[in-house]
Amino acid sequence: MRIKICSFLLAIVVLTACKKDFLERLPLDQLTDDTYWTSENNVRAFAWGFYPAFFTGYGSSYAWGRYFSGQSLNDDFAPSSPAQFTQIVPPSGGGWTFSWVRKANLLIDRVKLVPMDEEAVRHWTGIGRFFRAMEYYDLVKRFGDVPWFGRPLTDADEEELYKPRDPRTLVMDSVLADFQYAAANVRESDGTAGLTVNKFVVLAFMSRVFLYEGTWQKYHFNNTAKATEYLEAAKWAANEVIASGKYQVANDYRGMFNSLSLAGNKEVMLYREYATGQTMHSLNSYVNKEPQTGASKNAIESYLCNDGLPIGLSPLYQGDSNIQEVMADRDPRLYETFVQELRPNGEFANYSTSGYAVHKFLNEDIKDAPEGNGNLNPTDGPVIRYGEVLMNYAEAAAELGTITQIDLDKSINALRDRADVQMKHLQVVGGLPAIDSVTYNDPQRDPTIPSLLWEIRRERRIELMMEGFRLDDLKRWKKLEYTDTQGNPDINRGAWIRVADWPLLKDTKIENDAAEGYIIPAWKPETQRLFTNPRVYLEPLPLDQIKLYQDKGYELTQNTGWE
Amino acid sequence: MSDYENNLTRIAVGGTFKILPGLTVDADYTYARNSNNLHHTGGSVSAWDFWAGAGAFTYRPYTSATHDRVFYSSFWDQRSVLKAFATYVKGVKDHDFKIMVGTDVESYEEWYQSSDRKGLLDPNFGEPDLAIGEQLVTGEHNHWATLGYFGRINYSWKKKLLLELNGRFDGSSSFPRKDQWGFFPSVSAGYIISEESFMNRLNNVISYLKVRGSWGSIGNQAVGENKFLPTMNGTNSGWYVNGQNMRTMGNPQLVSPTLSWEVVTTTDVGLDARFLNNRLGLTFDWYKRVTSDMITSAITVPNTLGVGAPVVNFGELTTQGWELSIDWNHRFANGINFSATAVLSDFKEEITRFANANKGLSTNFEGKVLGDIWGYETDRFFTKDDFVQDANGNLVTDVNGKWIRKDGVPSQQQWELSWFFYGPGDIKYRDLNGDGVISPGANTLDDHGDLKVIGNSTPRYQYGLRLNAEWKGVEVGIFIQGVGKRDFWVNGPLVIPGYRPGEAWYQHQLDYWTEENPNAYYPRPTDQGQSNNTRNFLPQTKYLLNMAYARLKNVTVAYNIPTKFISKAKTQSARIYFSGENLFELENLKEPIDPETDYTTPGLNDPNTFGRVYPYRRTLSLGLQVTF
Repeated sequence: MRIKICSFLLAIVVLTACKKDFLERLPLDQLTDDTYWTSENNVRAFAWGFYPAFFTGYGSSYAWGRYFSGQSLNDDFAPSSPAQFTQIVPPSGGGWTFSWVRKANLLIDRVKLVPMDEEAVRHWTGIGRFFRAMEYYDLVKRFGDVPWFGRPLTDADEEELYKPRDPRTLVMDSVLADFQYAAANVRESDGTAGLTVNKFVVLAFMSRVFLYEGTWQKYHFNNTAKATEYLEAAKWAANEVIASGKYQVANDYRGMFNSLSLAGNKEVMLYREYATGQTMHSLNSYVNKEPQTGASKNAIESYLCNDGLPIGLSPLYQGDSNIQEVMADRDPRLYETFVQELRPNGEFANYSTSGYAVHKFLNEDIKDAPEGNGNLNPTDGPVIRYGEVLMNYAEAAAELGTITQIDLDKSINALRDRADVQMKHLQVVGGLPAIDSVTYNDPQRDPTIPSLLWEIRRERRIELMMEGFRLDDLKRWKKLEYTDTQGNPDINRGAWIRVADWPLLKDTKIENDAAEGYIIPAWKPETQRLFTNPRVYLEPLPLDQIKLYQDKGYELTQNTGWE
Repeated sequence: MSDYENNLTRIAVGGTFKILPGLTVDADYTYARNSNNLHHTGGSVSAWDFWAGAGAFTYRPYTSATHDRVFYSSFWDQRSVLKAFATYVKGVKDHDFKIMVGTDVESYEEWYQSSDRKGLLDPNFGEPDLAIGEQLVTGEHNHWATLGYFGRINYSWKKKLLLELNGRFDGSSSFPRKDQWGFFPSVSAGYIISEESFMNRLNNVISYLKVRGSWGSIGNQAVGENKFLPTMNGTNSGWYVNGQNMRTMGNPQLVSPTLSWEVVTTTDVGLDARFLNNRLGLTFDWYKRVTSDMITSAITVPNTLGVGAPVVNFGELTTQGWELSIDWNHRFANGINFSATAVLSDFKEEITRFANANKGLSTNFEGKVLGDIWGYETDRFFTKDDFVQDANGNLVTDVNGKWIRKDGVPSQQQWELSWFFYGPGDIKYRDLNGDGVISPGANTLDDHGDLKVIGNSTPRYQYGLRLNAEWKGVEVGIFIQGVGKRDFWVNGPLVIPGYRPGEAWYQHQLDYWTEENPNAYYPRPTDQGQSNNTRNFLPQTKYLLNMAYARLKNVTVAYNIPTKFISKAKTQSARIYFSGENLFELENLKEPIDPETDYTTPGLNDPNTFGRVYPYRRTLSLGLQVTF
């Protein structure tokens, strides 16, 4: 017996311990960088990781992305305490991060290893380059010059990691090359339409990115050659989308923002799917159930009258002494965007700081249902739509100085022909804007902006109202002075009200404390937003990085004005 | 409602085999299999929300939608352990040897899977088939193995010089092939001075005296299995396509091609002594333990890398401590037997090597004492006089209802929100750096604003005292235990009033600030948003829990009835006793919290349930023990 047990134990020792690979225990439930890249399905799974970060839509839970007051530092919103420009240099973070650049570079690099068709390799390389371009666009918008990395680095690549910032134009040239590659190689259709990136989504974003950079080069650098090159790229990309005929202007403007499902919407090129019990947002509740940051007088007045003329010229404009007058005979997009009643503080639980309240994102059918509450909203969130592409086309053409009636008809006038808009066409006569062949000149025009460009910028503001574009637009046009609450007082005015009409009114300041007048949402001197220093066109780099470079004997330069 | 079931099966074989005189072989093999199942049924709980709607309470669900679910999980693992060693003992004259060689082998594998479905049709039936919402499955499957060989030589000379040499050669599957093995030697020596003849004349005073010292290292491989592999972790992206949350894989981490054992090196010097005919004893140890080659990053990389630096064997943690034990036995002339044992120990841990160029306070950095709590010094409550008043002495507010600070009152604006402004009855923190703003600075060691180390959560000066006396069959025993110093900054509804909307307030929390009660313990009630790091409950001196205590763990009084009284009843012995557990404690807590409390296990329960445990009970027992 003793011998038996002894030999049994000895056998275990021999069998286990002496097994040569006894200590070789590779992971059972994880793949590694060395074992992952084996099929197109795996590549696709990796790529989903980009989507919610780049295509936030309406965000999730109580964060709602850049829609509505998710982007409120502009001249459209009149909050009681306006969002301020960045005032301090961040100790760390501050958006100076390259993890998405790394992710995109990993995808571009590893796709080469995957056994699949050449076409698939090109498609997924294009997807990787598209996301790399998108991330660099974001970094350039924030910081201007940034170091360009075209491959995934390791900690051993010290020289490259600490290299100086590359000039903005150099980076954007690389971004352009990425977009051109992606536009040429990403599939026209791949996966579920509207929920995956395809060639036209790439082109649509390309028109956005190069309209931004083209106008930036023009207004900030006065670099005509680069401005022309980039604006041509924007116009070309937009035109590719238009010429494809795959997308059309939707009949229902608001339907793009408050629908339970955007599947099959012919204008929405990419959207984020929301559903009860899965991912949900709170934008629908916010514009309906909560006190909201209201629109400024300046934003409301930017809407044309329905004869196609600005309020300063149109005989139809009735004034703004009450909401009925404000809403009479205006561009129907005003009604699609704002409720036709005033909601001053004290009178409504869901009041607006300016009196003007937004309902662009409200679905009336669910507003009192459980899913209309809190962070349980299931309406789908648009990510990019054909309407923006048309606006990008028109503006790029106008900035290039080549815009024709044909260009206007296929862009702005297509939007004005929308079934529920039906506005008179914008015409160009002798380089000037015209309605019914009669040229006009908005008396409220910024005199530094040519008349036709002024109308195109107006159309963009109205069409894309509260979709998160305005701050970027003002930055690239070098017009941040519009956001100064003292320099541009109309952005800190709300509706005209008569105090006596609103017995429950509270915490509301009327201009000059008069019995009637405009609501002044931000009335305290210290809550004003002043645009005093052009350094805010770019964000400051975080201090910890600058110090780290210094300690290592390298230099990371701070942006002008932030040193 | 949760059901939990655990099954454990263990099979062990083994024994000691005497092969030759002085040579034995010990071998044990154990196979253990453990499995457990959890069934968790959630639902929805409603309560009155006292933070919503300015005084108008609303009745609403306060559990989140994700709580309304059925959850099943199962876990099982198997472990094989083999230990085998041969021992040879040999004595030659004054020399005694013991030699040992052996091996340890261990392999382990575990599995886990869970299924979760939201939206119960009926909370009484928590079954996946009776839920209609999102479903989620997860799984895990891991394994590891270790293999070690060891040898030991014990030598003693005349039983007064003792020497031990140890060597371990250990291998682990947690490291890349060429780095799997590590050699960990140790040596210890002792010298029993009292055995020396020259000590004989001190025998009455020093009965026993031994000095000893040791130095040795062991390896730690429990650092995570695949740290050397660029693994890609699966997550749900949050991007839905046709109702499916698309699965995605994270970026692979950067890994180092070399990675090996962490090494724990301990140096210990000690003294064992007994005095006065063994009546008084003393044991003292001082030790220093250095955990080196800790698996951490070795460099701070710039953000441009887009990922953290790979982990390598780099960091170092140094622990220094000591332990003291004194005992005393005495039999008095009148027959009273008395004994006392006191123990006292302390240790301190410090990070002595770590790559963190910024020295961020929330991370490790060189020189960081583990357990340090950074916080603010509480000044007092704000009063009306800190704010601008009108001619009638009423506070002036701006359009947002915000009070206006007087000049010279430091700003705490950083924690203000559209609905929360500091005002009378709120906590005023002390502006330690005098810049007029309460702030954590850059939250780094070099720039920590008004933060300072307000305490340390490591228990310091742990002590115990045991007293026993016996006289003519009467025994008295007392055991006291305590901690000399320990601080804790905790979270949860017991320490933060109104922690969760809809939750009852504890009685001690009713002493809150009002104009009529300006000297209250707690500030003006505000919604803390379930955080112990904001508004009135930033980490601070006032509400820092002082967890030092001394506790009377046990008192026993017993009487052994003399045999002469009980022998007639055919009993061998009889004993009457009274015992009291946990009768009394000394502590300085203002909150009704037991100083030995800790957080409950997060995950199954709410992570924020500090102090909500069955309290330590005071137990009184009276008993009779009879042996026949």
